[in-house]
Amino acid sequence: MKLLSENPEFMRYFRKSMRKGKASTSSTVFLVACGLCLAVNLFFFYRIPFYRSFQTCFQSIFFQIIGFNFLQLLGFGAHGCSDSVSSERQSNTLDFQRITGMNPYTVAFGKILGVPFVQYRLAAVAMPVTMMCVVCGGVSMATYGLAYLLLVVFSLSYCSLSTLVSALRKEKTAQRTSPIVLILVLAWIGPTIIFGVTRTGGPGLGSGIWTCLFPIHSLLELAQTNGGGYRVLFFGTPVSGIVLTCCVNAFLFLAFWAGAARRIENDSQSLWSKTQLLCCSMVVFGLMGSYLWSAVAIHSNPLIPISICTILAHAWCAFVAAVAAPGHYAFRLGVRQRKSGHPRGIAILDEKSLALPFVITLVLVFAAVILTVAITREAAMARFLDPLSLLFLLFSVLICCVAYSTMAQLCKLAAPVHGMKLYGGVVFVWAVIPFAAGELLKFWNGSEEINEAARFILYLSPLGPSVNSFQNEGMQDVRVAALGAFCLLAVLTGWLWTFVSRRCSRLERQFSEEVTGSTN
Amino acid sequence: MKTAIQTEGLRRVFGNSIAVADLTLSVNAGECFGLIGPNGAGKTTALRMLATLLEPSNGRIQILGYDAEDETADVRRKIGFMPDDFGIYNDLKVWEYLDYFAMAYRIPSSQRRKRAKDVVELVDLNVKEDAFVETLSRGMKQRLCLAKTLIHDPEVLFLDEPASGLDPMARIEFRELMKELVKLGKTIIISSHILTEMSDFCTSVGIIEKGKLVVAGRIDELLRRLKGSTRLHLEVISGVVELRELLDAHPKVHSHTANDLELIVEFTGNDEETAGLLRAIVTAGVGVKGFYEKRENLEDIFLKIGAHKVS
Repeated sequence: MKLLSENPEFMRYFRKSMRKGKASTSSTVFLVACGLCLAVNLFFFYRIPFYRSFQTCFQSIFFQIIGFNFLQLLGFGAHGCSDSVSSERQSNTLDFQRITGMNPYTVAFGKILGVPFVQYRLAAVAMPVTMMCVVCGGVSMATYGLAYLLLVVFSLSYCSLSTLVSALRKEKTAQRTSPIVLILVLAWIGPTIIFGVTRTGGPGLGSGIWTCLFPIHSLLELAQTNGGGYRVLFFGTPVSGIVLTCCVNAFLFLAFWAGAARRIENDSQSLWSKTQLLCCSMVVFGLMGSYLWSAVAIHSNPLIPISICTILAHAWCAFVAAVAAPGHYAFRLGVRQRKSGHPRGIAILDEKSLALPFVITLVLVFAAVILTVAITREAAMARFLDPLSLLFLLFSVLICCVAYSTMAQLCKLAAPVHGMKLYGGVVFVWAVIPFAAGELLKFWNGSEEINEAARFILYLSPLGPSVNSFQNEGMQDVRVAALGAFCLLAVLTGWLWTFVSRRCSRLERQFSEEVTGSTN
Repeated sequence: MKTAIQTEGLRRVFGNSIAVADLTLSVNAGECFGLIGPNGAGKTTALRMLATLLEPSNGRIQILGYDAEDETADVRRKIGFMPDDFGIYNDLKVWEYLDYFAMAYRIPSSQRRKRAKDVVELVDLNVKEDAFVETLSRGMKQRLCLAKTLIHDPEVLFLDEPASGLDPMARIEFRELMKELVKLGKTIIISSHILTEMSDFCTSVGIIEKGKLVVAGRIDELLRRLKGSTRLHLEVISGVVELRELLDAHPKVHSHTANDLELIVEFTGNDEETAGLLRAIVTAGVGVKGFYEKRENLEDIFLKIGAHKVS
């Protein structure tokens, strides 16, 4: 309890939401709403044969109230958090917090728990009503506990995501970040629902692991099974979906919390430290590996799962490159620390862009191990997979990753303020334009068999080799055009890498002159 | 005397512009140091670096013997910072606001209420303890901000334009408060535009221009160093022509300007020679109504030294 009662940030929101009048009014209104919900459902039960039994009626009431708590936490809680850091940055109160020497992790934790405190209070107010549903036999005690556990996990992961987005906003503008949070949430829901639907058969088998990213899916499953829970395949072994959802979301909360705290401490800092980034990569590739393993173990043709995982690996590595590429701040800091003989100035991963392939290679090696183990596990896979083309696919991801990190570095150096936006645009154009051009050329030729020109253009895009394996293309045979595109990409990346390295050295000299005063 | 604040070659660069250039400063414990300079001279940047809120591009800061970069947590425990453009949590009560910072500074819960009461008393906000912050006037909010800066009893205070936006009465109250803090032995660095007021409680000043510290030292020393001539004001009722002739002939009169029956004389002589000049004027039959020396203050130092350019 001391963790909360001695957290000034949490106490500030707590005091605000527990003011006399304000707290009792909202609680009363919510209790009345719960009472109305109860009355309407009982009316339907007694007057219209809407529910099969008394128990079904109370089960419905329970999930209506819990569902409403979910929605209000998503709506008001996440919305409130999306403004929590940026508004303080705007009003200069964040400086007050920083100067007290308060741990930024404490500040971020206080905000994540404190901002949606009203919503927590309302959820607590509804607990006697939901307990009544348990007493009347609507839901089991296990369902009751699991539903509230999911509610807590859900609010922690979403509010921390929202706080992180708010902390990422550097400018002291009044612009709200809630629309960004909403887009992220929607982008999050989409794939989870798709995987939730496809996990029952075909290549979607094993994809249930992705549904663990979204607690609402677990709640819906809980409602359907009434506490029975559901199982997802984790590396081919069935485990409780709810437990896995809680674990995955607890990790997401930790990752978002750490990111928000780092940005509260210093708005020029990278989102995560190298260690944190590696941990995140391990979890992402762990989920990916589990999906591959399960899919391969059950389904005979692994091409679609491999394609999906390759695309996800591309997306994640592009993101890792964006986060890990040091900007002007890191360069300046590194130069200064080395000048003053600071021990931190010698760190290998601090400000040199050369550190990026290290991170990416580690991640890819991990991915490759999982991929290889998963695929060689089943002897039957041999007829679908040519090891050479599989290797080609893996190396295409690797070369693209080096290209991502080079481009991220270049964009961050070229545009210190809007570097990330520029990088996002460049990656999007690179991925989409050759891919679309290749597909158009295929369509233009009107042939099922892809010709060499279309193949060459298509393989210039990072999506080319990954998507083509859907069509049994790149996995079965690697042709000259594909290899040509691959070599061209490698050469271009190498040239860009040299250019960026020179630019980094020049910048280091410039910063070195700046700190010693020769620009004066 | 023990040095409380020491900076060496402090420098901050924003892109291509140098906000603070090689600022070397030494402030003794218990001293009140005024940082003077026009807008954009680099005062706020310098104070934010001293308060560990902004990392310097180069240079070292030592506060009470702690290195601001390596021992940031220790430095933050010892200092209080009041920015120019401060935000306040309007939805809290005055005591809650102070309790927030007391908690943030890890003051034990048993002492928090007492500490809050002490600072509230010091800034004279006792009657408003249970009021919401949003109901306070600008001056009261300023005092509340100072109270939160003092809640952990810091040894060193950095105050950035603390009296800006205050009405004359609030300024007088603020000046008294500053004198009180100086008496309590706090080491203070204060930046302000209101130079006349600063001379009341500042023991030393530094003039900053284009990010560089042009001059720094004790006010009386600076006045002595910069005093080239004495400015004498003369008011007469008759004999202006004779007076002007006499002044033209006097070897110690550097220049003089007349405005009807009032004259301003730049005089380079000492006190005895000033008395001699008065005697000569009276003997020459000039009807003297007033004869006094204009004392130089911080404003004069600033005007004499400052080129009033911003970086």
